[in-house]
This record gives sequence, structure tokens and C-alpha cells, in this order.
Amino acid sequence: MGMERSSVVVLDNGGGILKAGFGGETDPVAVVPNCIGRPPSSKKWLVGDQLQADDADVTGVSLRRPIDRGYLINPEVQREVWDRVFRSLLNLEDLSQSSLLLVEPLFNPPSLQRSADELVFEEFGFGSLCVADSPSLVHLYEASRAQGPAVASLVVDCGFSFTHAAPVMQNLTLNYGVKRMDLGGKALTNYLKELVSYRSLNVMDETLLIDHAKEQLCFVSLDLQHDLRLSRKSGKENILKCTYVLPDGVTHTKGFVKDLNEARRYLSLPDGTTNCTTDLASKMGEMGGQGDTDKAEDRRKVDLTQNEFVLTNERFLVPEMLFQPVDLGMNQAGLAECIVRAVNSCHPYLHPVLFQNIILTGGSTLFPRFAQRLERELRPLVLDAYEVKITCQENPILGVWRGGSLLASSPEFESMCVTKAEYEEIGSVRCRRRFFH
Amino acid sequence: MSADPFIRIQIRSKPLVLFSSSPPPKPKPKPVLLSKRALAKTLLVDCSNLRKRQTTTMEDENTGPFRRTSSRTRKMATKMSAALANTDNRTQAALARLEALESDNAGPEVLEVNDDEYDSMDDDDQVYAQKKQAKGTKRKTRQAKALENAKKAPRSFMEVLNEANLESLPPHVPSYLRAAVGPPTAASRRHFCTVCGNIANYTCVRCGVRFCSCRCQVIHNDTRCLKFIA
Repeated sequence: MGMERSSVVVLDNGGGILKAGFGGETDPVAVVPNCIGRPPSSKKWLVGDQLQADDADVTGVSLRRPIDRGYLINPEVQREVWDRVFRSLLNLEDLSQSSLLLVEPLFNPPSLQRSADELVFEEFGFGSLCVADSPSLVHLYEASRAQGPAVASLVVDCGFSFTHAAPVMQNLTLNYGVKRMDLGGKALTNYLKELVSYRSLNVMDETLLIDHAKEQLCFVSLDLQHDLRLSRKSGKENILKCTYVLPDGVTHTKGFVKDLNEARRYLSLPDGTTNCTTDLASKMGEMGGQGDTDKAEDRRKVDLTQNEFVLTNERFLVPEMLFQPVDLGMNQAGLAECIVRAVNSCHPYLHPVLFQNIILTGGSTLFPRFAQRLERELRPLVLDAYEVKITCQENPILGVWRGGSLLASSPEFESMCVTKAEYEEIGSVRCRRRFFH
Repeated sequence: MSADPFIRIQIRSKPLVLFSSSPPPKPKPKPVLLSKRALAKTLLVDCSNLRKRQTTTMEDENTGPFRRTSSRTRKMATKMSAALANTDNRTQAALARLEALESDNAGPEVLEVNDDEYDSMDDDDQVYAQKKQAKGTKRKTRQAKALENAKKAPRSFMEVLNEANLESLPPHVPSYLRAAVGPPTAASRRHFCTVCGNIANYTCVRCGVRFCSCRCQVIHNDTRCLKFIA
């Protein structure tokens, strides 16, 4: 067939999305949800990417995830997903010739490490295994793309199950400095479900649909008071309002935003520093008005027969949770403070270096204006002498996988692996000691 | 909790018989939302009194000639007092809300056993169907069923965490628990109206949720006040 694929399988086992592919390539082959789901009307469990297919009916699907709070606790479900990924999507027949680079979360308890090792070696029979953690991979990837040598950086990973702020120095994660918030994409989706169910339709079962709505419609507000005042206005002046239509199985099978232009009107907002309503009115006339008053009337009426709901202030209240969990009642510090605490637990000489190299990764950083808001919150907490520079990865979801791909194609990779023979001889615990965490 | 099975609590009020000395009809192992309406009402009335009297010592017996106090000590089962002492219904509801943020599925999961025959039925019908089926097949005792369910259900992460016993590690070793970012420095929070989402300044008297204006209060009272409490 021409192209010789390297025999290293890079697998980023995320709580929400699983990324798998071959080492040395730029993009993973399979980016699938890491869960199995069963629609209420059928007995068959849909695995991974079958849930994303165009003809899949995703309303009321009950999901079962192998990963709870970020850690792999259900190997049986995980085996089903991996089976589908390896056999059908990656087309791997003989796994004993390949080695696996598995990305695991930080502070994995030994019992879970053991069950993961069993899954890899005994169920699937890989040839060798190497375990890495996500912050060091992100650092590796960014360092290879940057101009100068990046000695240390602070990786902020806002994932599905939790958010870590991890300092990395020379490809080694300093795990005494890692700070973790127990909020992630899953909690954000559940919060949005709760808000929508309270105020309009009951969507508590529709995880995948509300996930989609959250990704399309939510953004981070830079000035909460201002945006709340805007959302209170009625009619055409309310530029934050937008509608999301749920699928009804007949005409549409996937949910969609009713009017994308309407949803993007908020972008005309200035940065929240000035309160210029006249500017807004003129900009609105350009963008979202669309001339016809009839169309505006139609849009404003919520068609209850069509199963749709309107979102106004939920759009920015949901990501607000990451910056201030106290608003929900959780006794946890927000993201800015998490970063500051992570940096402060390192050596003082490292502080300016870390603040200058903050890397944002993870799916939950894809909300518009996330970096702006984070910088605004972080700047008052940092000494004036230090410079605060935040870089977003160009693709936060695939960022960790790409770092893994780089690592897999490096020449020292072979020496870092643990082969199956070694695993069978000395057991899981001593093998794990080679991986430094 | 003290070693003796009953906590002696002095109830300073007119001698209302709040709790009979016999144990309550359904003692629950952990403090869940109490379903008995009367009990809930008395809780709301006398909670403030009880919260001051959680200690086992008898204090404030005689505070003046005009105060009529009943010095009869009443016994209360530890489980009841645990339910009362820990939280009241509002904070319990808040905690349940926070835990629901981490859940995968909102509703109860349908058991796989019934899938063959009862595909699309409501929850009530399915419970009835389960009962019917149970009568037909060999009756399992409740204990056996519970054992089976416990074996089938995969362990949750919290159980694994407890097993790992991370507190016994020396303090310089980083672990999952130590990596948690702690409470914030500024503990002031903003409250949002549960009806519309604006900044809420007022609290509902009965259930304690927030609302921002009279209009929202009216909506709240009509639709969801005390829906989950009483």
C-alpha cells in the first residue's frame, strides 16, 4: 500500500473524547466519544463513534462511561470502546506487533494502574506499553513549535472531568505543584441541563444534545453585570438571546441552533469597558436585523410544538462557573486562583518563567473570550514585575495527542517502553516505577 | 457522637411532644430528605432551637425566673439527631444538586433484565412489571438481591480513592487529595435568581432559593416552591 505506518498506537484516553491514532502523524485517526449509549427504544448499545453517526437517534440516550471523575474505573466498558476503535477504526489486526502510548491522568491510584495494565497486556495483548501524562506532552508539543527554548511552562488543562494547573519543567511534570479543580466539561453540561430544565424544557436526559448546544452557544462574559443587564432587555434589543431546536426524529435527527447569525450578535459587544448602547444599536442594524420584520416576529415566538428552547443569560452563566465555583455553592477556588496556587508551590525562581508561559489546553478552553477573561482575572493576582502571557493551543482537543505522537516518533521512545515479557515477569507495580509518576 | 445510643437534648420550649421516645418508624441510615410532612413542619419551626442544643451537656438550665423551661431531658435516637444536626433540608438539597453535577445519567437506569419484553414503558409500569416477574421466578431475598447488585455495579471512584488510603502517606509525597485546590480566599458569592438568572437579592421564605423580583417570586410560588422538599 505504499505508506508504512509506524507501529506505535497513541491513545489519549479522555473522559469525554477518546483520541487514537498512529505515532508520527499530525492528526489522530479516531476522535470518538468515550462512552457507550443505548437509545431508549432499542436494546443494542451504541459504541463510541456510532453515537456520532448521522442516522443515530440521540434523544434520551442513556450513557455509560468507563471513566468516572477522570479515572478509568470500569474496564469492561472501556474494553468495548477500545475494541471498536482498534478493530474497526484503526484497522489493527495483530496488536502484539504494536506498542501503545497511553495517556493517563495524574495521580492515578495503583489499583487503577494495575487494572489498566491488565487491560492493555492481557485483554488486548499489546507488545509494549508506555504511559505518559498530559501536561508533559503538551509542553513537548509547544516547545517544538516555539522559537526559543521553553524551559518551563504552566499547562492549564480544562478537560471533561476536571481542570489541572500543572507546572512542567523540561518535560517532567512537577507533581508537587499540580492543583486540581473538580470542574470540567461534564459539570458545565450538567449545569446547563439543570438551568434549561428549570426554565423551559426538561432536558435532563439529553446529554449529547446539550453538549452540542453548549459548544455552539456558550461564551465567556468579560463583564458580568453588563451582560446580565443586556439579557434583561426584551425583543430586538436583547442581542444575547438565541434559540436551539431539539430533534424530533422526523425532519431533523440532530439538534441545531435556529439562527446562527442571531447567535453571533453578541460578538459586536465591546470589551465591556464602556457602556455604549448607541454603538450597539447601529451594529445590530448591520448584522442581525435582516430587514424583514415578519421574520423577526417569527423568530421571537418560541414554537412549543417544535421542541425548542431559548437561551439568554445561561450562555455566559455556565462558563462563569469555571471562574467562580463559589457561585454554585462549591467550596473551591476559581481558575485564576488555581493557577496562582500552582505557581506558588514551586520554587520562587520559577515564578516569572511560569507566568510567562501559560498554555491553555483542553476542550473547555474553546469558549470564545476564555483567554481574555482569564488574563483579566489573573493580572491582579500576580506581582507587577512578572509578565503574564497566555497562549492558547491551536487545537486544544488534539493538543495532547499531538504531543504523544511527537514522543512516539522520537528515537528514545523504544527505550521508555515496558514490554509484555517484562510485565509478565516483574509485575505491574515495578513496571510503573519506570514512568516517574 | 457519644458512646451512649441516645443523645440527651433539652428542649427549651413549651412542652410540645416533638419526638416520641420510641424510635421513629423508618430509621434511615444516612440523612436523607425526611418525607414525613408533619416532621418537616416541626423541623422548620423548631430547627433554630434545636441547633443550639446539640451538645450533650446541660447548659442554660436556669436563665431567670420568668423563663419557663422544661428540664425534662428527652432521649433521641442518634440517627435522628444525625439527620437534624448535620444539615437541614435546604443544605441537603444544595448538596444533592452539587452531586448531581457529577452524574452521568439523570434518571434511574433501567435494569437489563426487563429489556426483552418491556421496551418502551414508563417508570411506573416497569416497576409493576418487575414485581410481576419477581413473583413468577424464584423469590430472592432482599439481601441476596442487594449482594448481587453490589457485585454487578462497578466501583465508583470514591470507593477506589478510599481504598488507596492516601492520608497515610508522609506529607512531602504529592497525592490526589493534596492536589486539590482548596477553598477560595474570598468566600463571598453572588446569588443568581433561579427563575430568570439575574442577580438575586431576595430569598423565598419557604424553601430558601433566590429570586430577583416580585414577578419571579410569583412564578416560583406557582410552579416550584417546595416541590422537592415537602
